Amino acid sequence: MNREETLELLREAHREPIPEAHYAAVRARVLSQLATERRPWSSGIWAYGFAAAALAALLIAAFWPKQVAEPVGQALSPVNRALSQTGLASALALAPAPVEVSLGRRKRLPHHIKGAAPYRVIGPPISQPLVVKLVTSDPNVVIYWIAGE
Amino acid sequence: MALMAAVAAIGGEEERSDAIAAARAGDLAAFELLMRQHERLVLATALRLTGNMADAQDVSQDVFLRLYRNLGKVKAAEALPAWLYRVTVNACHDLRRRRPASEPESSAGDLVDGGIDPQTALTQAERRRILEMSLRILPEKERAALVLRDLEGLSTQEVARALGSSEATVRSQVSKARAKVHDFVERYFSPRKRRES
Repeated sequence: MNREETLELLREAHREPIPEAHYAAVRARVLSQLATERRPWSSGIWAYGFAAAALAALLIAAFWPKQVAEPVGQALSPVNRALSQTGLASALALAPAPVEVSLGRRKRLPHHIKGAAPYRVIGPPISQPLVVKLVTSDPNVVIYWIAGE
Repeated sequence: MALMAAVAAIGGEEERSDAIAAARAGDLAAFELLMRQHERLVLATALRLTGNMADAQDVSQDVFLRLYRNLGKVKAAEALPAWLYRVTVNACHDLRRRRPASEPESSAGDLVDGGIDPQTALTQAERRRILEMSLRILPEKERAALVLRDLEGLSTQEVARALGSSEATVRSQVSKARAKVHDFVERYFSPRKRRES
């Protein structure tokens, strides 16, 4: 067998028809893939709609006006209201001034000091007067006891 | 040339141009017609280059999807077969890089028509076996050159364009491939001849 005969043998084998089923399988796979890619945008609209609704709900929740708190004066008893109207309440400092207590870094203590306070207190010295409010059975009579420094 | 003869066999020039234009406009039926016109070219080439039908089908699917996405780049209908050969060779190369060569499936009887006599069927099966084995011994580039030049019947220039190499390189690859295939076929038949004598 010479080279030309060899090639002719291979050509004959190559020319044999491939069964139609193989072509049909390829066509089906290609068309199915293309159909998936070309699916109309309206078929996925519910997802976009849901996302838009969720976003709108988040925005509404974020920007919804908060309820205005009732003014303090309206919730006070008649005595306290009278005090607040005369400006005495601020002078009496009904609410105690906040005292900042910081748990500072724990300091390593010298060996010879044992049982010392491990925390230090940071903050302004308490300079405001101590106010004791005594409530009597009569709601119109309130006794304030003010102690200075 | 050879490619033009193949194109003529595929279908009328006007019909193919119409199918391309319609497919470009999104007509899937027209694209299916285009696939039918070129499926033999793609699948048979892929089958020879990959060595098994499953891979050849994967490659064909990839090639036709690429065709659909690049229909705008196919300027003229007569340029399509050359484009398909080039993309098929590249797709086979990509597949081989992604997936190392698998064990070739036994295709004995796969391509046999139901109505032929057993003797002819046996001859065809053996011929196919020789073709598959002789292509398997070739390096990838030589195999591609031989398949396009000697089995698909393209000219050296067309093969060079499809493979992206020079004509001299293609001539050299085809020559080496022919010699190797001939040696293989000789060896394949020689023990048999000795046994018969």
